[in-house]
Amino acid sequence: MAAITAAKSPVAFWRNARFRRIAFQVVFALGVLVLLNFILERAFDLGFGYDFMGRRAGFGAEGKTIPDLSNPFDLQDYGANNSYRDAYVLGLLNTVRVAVIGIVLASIVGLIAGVARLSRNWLVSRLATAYVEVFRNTPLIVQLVFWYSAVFLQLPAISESISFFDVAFVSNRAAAIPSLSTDEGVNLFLAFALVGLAAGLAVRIWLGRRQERTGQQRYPGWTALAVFAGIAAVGFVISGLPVSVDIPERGERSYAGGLQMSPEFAALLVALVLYTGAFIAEVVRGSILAIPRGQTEAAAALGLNFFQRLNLVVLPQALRIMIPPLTNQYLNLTKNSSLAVAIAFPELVSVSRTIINQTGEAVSMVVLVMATYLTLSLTISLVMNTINWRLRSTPR
Amino acid sequence: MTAIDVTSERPPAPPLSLVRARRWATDNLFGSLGNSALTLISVAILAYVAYQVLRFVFITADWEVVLDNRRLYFAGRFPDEEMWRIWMSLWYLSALTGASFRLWGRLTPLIAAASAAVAVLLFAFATDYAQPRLLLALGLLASGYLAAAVLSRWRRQLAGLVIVGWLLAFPITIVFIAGGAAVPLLAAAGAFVLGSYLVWRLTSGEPLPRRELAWLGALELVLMALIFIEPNVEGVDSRLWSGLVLNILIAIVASVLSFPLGVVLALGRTSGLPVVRVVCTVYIELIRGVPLITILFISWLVLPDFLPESLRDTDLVVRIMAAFTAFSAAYIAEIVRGGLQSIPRGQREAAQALGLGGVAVLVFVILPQAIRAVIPALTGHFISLFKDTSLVIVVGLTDILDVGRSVTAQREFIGRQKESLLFVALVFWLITFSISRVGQRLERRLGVGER
Repeated sequence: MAAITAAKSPVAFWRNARFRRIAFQVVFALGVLVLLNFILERAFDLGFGYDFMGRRAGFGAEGKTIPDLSNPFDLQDYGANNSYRDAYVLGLLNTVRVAVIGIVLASIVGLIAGVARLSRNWLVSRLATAYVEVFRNTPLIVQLVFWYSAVFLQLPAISESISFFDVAFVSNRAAAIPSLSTDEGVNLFLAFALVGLAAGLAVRIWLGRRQERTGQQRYPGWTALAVFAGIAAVGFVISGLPVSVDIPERGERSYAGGLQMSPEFAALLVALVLYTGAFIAEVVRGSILAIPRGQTEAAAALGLNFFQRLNLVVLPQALRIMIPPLTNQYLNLTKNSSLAVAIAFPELVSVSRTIINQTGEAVSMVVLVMATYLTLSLTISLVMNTINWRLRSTPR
Repeated sequence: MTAIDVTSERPPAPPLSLVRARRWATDNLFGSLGNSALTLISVAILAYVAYQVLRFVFITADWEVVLDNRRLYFAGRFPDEEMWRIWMSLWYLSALTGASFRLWGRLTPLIAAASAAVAVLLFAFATDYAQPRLLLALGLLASGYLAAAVLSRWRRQLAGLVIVGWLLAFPITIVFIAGGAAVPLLAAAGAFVLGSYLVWRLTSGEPLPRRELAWLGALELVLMALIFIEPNVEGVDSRLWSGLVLNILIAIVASVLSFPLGVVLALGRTSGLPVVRVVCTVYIELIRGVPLITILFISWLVLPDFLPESLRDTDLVVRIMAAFTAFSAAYIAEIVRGGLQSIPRGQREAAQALGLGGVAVLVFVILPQAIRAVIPALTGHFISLFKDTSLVIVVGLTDILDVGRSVTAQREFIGRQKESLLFVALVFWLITFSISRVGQRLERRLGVGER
């Protein structure tokens, strides 16, 4: 009884739970606002703004004697008369390019290594394990500096470059691989290819429905592929063979034709792909292991063959588990491409550092770079979340 | 004979080991045509890589560059006459590690063999100056182990002592190396945490026992006094911290400081107070969305302009440590948040039903379980934090990677980048690989994932 009266007795207002919640939040919000206000005031005192971006940048061939024609997005081709804004866009393009190519290649490497780690073949799984453990446990920036200054810069000069069957070359100035070049008829060909794609999809859906209705094997995937390939091939001939393989040729001081990469770009790509590939391998391995054994066994009991089991039962489920951690790895790869500043590849951070050095606009540039990366990260998250949503399991 | 013997648990062992080896090879290497082909390809790859590596390591490589500069790799420009500070810290940690190993670890032949191999390697590699000191460290490691074994009767008391030793390891090491200048910073951090706790307890309406109040109050007063009284202990200027020592110092400081910060951020993000939740969420997502380099750039180029006059010439190393702490805290917050979400509601409700207050529920019921559940992720995070410390080369600090890059500028070592950088990679690999193994051990001991 005494306890109840004690509970009813008026409590000091600062011990009232609701008052405490509100008071704490008000104090907290005030603190944050004061801090924000201070930061903004200071930033504008320091001349925060982007007027300088229109000024002539003037960085052309600094520190390099031989013009680097190899890199289509390189600063040299940009000319010294372009503005800081142009230079920044160039950095952004380079970052996006490295990220996109890197994500594709790292996924392939990771998928192979991850499946290899699960192989029943003892030697194959050990090899894959060794790869993963070595590359995951050393810092990316050490690997990057290693590939750049200990591998790519130590290669022979262009005139003595290492040749792979005379179609690809590597040297300390550039690497050149065959590429595709297009003629004027390419638009017609692309139109044919699009029509083929649409026809293929239609066939795939039609045959798929029939197969589901009748239960007879109609091979919808293969037929659709054949339809697409057929239409594309006809279009290719009609439009006058507009795509050809461009094989690089070695000159004395440069390569002609093909797709050429600067050693900076090549080193960054190799380092990012091998490093992220090791992490993706672990994601792949974990996702496949997470599929209960019973799934495979049940599929086998239903009479599905190996590829049907993999294609229809294991991979769809593994993919669903894989997507969130895979998204993280893609985001990491994109953010890690900023390490290129250590080898002076002209991507976002590298270009921004040069701009800061020249203009002294540190605050504005850092804010801009952070905003750009946030946008890139959000874009990747959005794409991957959409895929995740499309692949989600239907609730049972 | 036809009856099946159901009592025997395993089939009888094959008579010859050769038979076993053959069966193993058939099962694992040559089971089918495809499998045999894979094996042959792997053997080819393995043979090629092994040949190249062995040829490089023993024939074409010239390891002089590493041997001649070994002191630079480890301590860089750290002055010779101040090296005892690093050794003292190492000795202190060795004794603690030895005792902890006896208390909580287990010495398997494999661990013993691996440690012995590493010890021999380290010893062979060490300079004449370092050799006796390294021996002392090994001796202290062994004595810690033996002392814990001999004093096994007082295991409880000893365990308490060792835990206090580990808690004090951070301030002791920092003061050893940085000197008295670090004391006000450490004291301010401690005073802030303890002060917030005291204010919360005193206003929360739960009675705080007199004795506890006296103890905590006294400690708070001492900490506050230490903020203003800088003890006159000499240290080494942080501009001279370099080499592997710098990597390790940054990693340790950032891990230790970012952990409580990360826990607070995680609690903030999951709290029922909307203002706090929004602020914490924005901070975490902002930091996680941008590369670490941009945060280092802020510390390097932008931060000095935003600091009050008195702090404006804070050393770059200190600012970089702050950047790593701010960065790491956001990631730890997300990891801990995962742990918090894995705790069933009933735990909190049961604790509240027992009459525990808000802070007590968190400290004694929720956090211990939440953090235990995410130990694997935390280990992974600390490993990647240590790897990330190499990024400081971008802001012009001299860590082990920078040493590895610049030693090849010496005339006699031009073109020896491979040796130098491979050595740097090996050092990182050895450290990160052993941390991950210790982490796995910790998981098993704490029974992570067993409930």
